[in-house]
Amino acid sequence: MLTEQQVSHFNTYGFVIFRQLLNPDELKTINAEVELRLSSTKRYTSPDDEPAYMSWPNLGPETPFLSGLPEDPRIYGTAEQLYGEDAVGLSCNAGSFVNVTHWHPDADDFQLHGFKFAIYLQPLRADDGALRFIPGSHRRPFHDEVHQNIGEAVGDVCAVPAYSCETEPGDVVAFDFHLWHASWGGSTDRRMVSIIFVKNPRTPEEEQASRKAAAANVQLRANLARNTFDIPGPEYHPHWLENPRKNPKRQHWIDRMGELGYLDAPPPETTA
Amino acid sequence: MLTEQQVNHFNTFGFLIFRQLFSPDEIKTINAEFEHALTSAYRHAPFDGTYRHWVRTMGPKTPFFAGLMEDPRFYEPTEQLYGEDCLGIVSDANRYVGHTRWHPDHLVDPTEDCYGVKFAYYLEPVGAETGALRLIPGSHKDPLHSTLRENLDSYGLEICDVPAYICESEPGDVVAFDVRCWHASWGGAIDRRMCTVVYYKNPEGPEEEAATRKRASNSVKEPNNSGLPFETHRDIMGYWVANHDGSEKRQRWIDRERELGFLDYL
Repeated sequence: MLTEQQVSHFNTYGFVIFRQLLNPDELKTINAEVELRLSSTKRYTSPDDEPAYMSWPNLGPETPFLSGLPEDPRIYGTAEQLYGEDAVGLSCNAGSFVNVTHWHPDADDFQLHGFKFAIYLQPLRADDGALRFIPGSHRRPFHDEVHQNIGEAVGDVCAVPAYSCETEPGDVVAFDFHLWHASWGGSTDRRMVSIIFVKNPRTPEEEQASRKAAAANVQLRANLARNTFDIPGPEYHPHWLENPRKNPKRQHWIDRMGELGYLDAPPPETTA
Repeated sequence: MLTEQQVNHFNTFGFLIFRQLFSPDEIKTINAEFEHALTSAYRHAPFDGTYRHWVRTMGPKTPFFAGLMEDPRFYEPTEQLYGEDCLGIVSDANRYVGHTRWHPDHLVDPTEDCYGVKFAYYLEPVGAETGALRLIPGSHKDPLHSTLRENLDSYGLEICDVPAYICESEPGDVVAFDVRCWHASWGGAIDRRMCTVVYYKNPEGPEEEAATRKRASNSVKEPNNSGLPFETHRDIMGYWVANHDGSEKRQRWIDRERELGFLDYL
């Protein structure tokens, strides 16, 4: 449960940090599940290749802890407080990042609302891959001004004035889709778990924005899967979609994702 | 002369950093004038770390400081950002004590307060934990400026935990920030030496003019808040206003500042 100050902090700056939300045992489990999935990626199957960004979904029986994390009240409770009780849990992905991440927001469409939980599995400092935020840039007109004026600085992460969100394993950072963020430095195997929630669209404009985002997401994830695995599996594992425990929350998410297009098959040209 | 990119950066984030704007020789002069200005002004109460020392450096004993407002490295960027008729307000020197809490120097609404730019430069290297200026990018504009005014204290955060950009600097660097931008500092030596040069936008229209007069009216009370005898301020500003070199730019500032009430205390 977020305090009033945390909600206000999120609304003002576009993010909030939950220090040590995950305990050491949970971290151990997460690390083991990430390692298991990472071991089936091209990082391991093509070790001579230049290290590249790997990303995969965790909503399957191989990763039971991560698969259940969106249904953990510490996670969905935050989403429901910020975006309404019918907020939709979209994914629990993991990634192994390489080098710099240039400045970007996760969304520019202000009819699309949502946020990401970022869980880094290594300690991160300003020049060592920590998330950098431009506080308050999740709101207009500042968001748009950053867009217009970031110019050449897009490629020069450190030239943009920002807050460095230094974290330890166990910390969880939640940030708005529209917040400008980046990272600088870091290892070639910077591991992050991300859980994404969206506001359930209510207006025709919001619904249209969600459908557009869903289509883009399907394509993006298919491309990432092709870059990550020799033989990519489905983005949403049939086991998770079966919802064996009949969790009504998960079922709401599955139903709504289906309506909005998040469960659509990727276009043929983007499949492996 | 600012590049288009620098102008956009300033307008978007509310500040700009000029690395090594001062040469080593100039830094030497600044240090010498600083010590002379502060020591002689506070001869009656030498600095002991209990409260901030502040003095205008626009008198005859600090010629380098006094000329900074008329130095193109300062007034040209200001004219680019705030108009060619902007007003040179002050060049000063400070010895700070402890942290500086989060605040903007001016209100965001131009019908309530005037606005402009402050050039700040530190005489020692300053880092995140040693008194560097912290700025919240984009907080010189609404909605962020007013949201912070409403909520910042309620977060219960230490100064260092408020999300911000930390302007680490070396002697010679100068940070220019819009006076409406929220800023603070954390840590730092008890004798943290910082100087500023401030310009205001020349007010346009009756509402902006009224807001500027309000600021002027409050600022004429300022001399009494510094712990300095009134005569010290009067002598320094009297010298500046005399404009012995006949600078046209300075004279324009003096004339307009007189109209607006900034010099009423002389």
